[in-house]
Amino acid sequence: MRLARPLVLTLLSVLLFSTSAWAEMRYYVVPKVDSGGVQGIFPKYTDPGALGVGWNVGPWQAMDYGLENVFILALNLTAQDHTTLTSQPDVLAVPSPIDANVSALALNTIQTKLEAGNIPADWVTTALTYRQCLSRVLRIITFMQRFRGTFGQLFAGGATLDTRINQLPVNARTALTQAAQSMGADVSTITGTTLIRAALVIVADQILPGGLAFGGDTF
Amino acid sequence: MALPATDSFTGTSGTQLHTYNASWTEQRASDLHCEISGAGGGTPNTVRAAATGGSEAAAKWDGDTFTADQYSQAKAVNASNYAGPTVRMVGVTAAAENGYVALIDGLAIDLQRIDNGVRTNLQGGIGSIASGDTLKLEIVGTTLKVYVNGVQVGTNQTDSNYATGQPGIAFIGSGAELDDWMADTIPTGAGGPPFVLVAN
Repeated sequence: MRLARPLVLTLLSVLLFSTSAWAEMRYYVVPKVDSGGVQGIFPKYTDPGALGVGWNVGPWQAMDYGLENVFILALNLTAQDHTTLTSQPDVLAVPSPIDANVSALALNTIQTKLEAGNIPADWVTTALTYRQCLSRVLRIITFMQRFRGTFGQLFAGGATLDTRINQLPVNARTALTQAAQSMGADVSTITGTTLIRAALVIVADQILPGGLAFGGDTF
Repeated sequence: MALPATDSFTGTSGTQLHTYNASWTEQRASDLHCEISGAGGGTPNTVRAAATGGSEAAAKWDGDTFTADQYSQAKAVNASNYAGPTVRMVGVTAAAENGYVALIDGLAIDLQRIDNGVRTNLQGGIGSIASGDTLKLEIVGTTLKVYVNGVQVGTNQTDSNYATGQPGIAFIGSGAELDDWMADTIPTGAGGPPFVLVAN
């Protein structure tokens, strides 16, 4: 019964929004595209015409995950355009409403697609809401942005989410510590044997306690 | 100098920006220079990117010290081309240019980040802008906001890549002109909407 409720809510929301011109702010995980022009690097499928004649997502907002090939994208699409976008194999749509618990049906897809982008997701469970998941993911992204801005790419030279901190080059370790501390995080519980996936979560859970603005919402 | 920093770009057409006013530092000197407009066309006493020599131009104001929380604004003289105010800018070569820009993009606005001279679009197609409008970019902590004539467009943007830097201006191509630039620090706690006191 518990598992069925989010599914019913999702189906209900699809039915409701299918008759409205503009639905609600929704969140997607999409790859990066480099225009080589005015747009610079931008989230895939946000450029007019990307998914056919007349395709136009309107105003959009995104956060990129350091130098990884990932944007979290906030869009307010029609139900039809949402369906078109989510039919793309490289798009992960966060189910709606985001205050519902993660469904058992969606759990594996969420974990697989996030981890494919080097975003740790082993902590995602059906006990969490999509909002709680987004909140943590957005903070992981924000931390990695600071690291990128001061150092560069973390997942380079063979490093993965399951790499231990003491397997990283010393300058990368130092930069991680400095990036975390510059955002007010206490890194004393992170040791040399801590996996990167765990370290990212430890830091993410400490930063931006006042809220993180994204897509017109606060996480 | 005293803040706010201002510049109305009243100078000899064709003069490179850093020559016209030593408070400006060119950030893409091997790409395009910023210059006082009007030579060979354009609007005198405004600023633009030089017509030839590269693809993008940027300059930051080093004549004052700014805190990390700051804003930069400029008037759009030609609102259909690509230019805008920048914040937290560092670097004096294209390869080292970092910071944020509110970019006029075809009568709408993009909020972009510049990483080692390469731009990443964070918000696209937000708001609208016309010639004569003032475009403002503000950053407080990790929150960026864009305003047109004092009204916020788009939504609050969280980005933590760059923690410090100087305000300035940036151009893509040579068609845009800006005027009446202004920048200042934002006092701690001054971000967001003003407080309204209501008597009990």
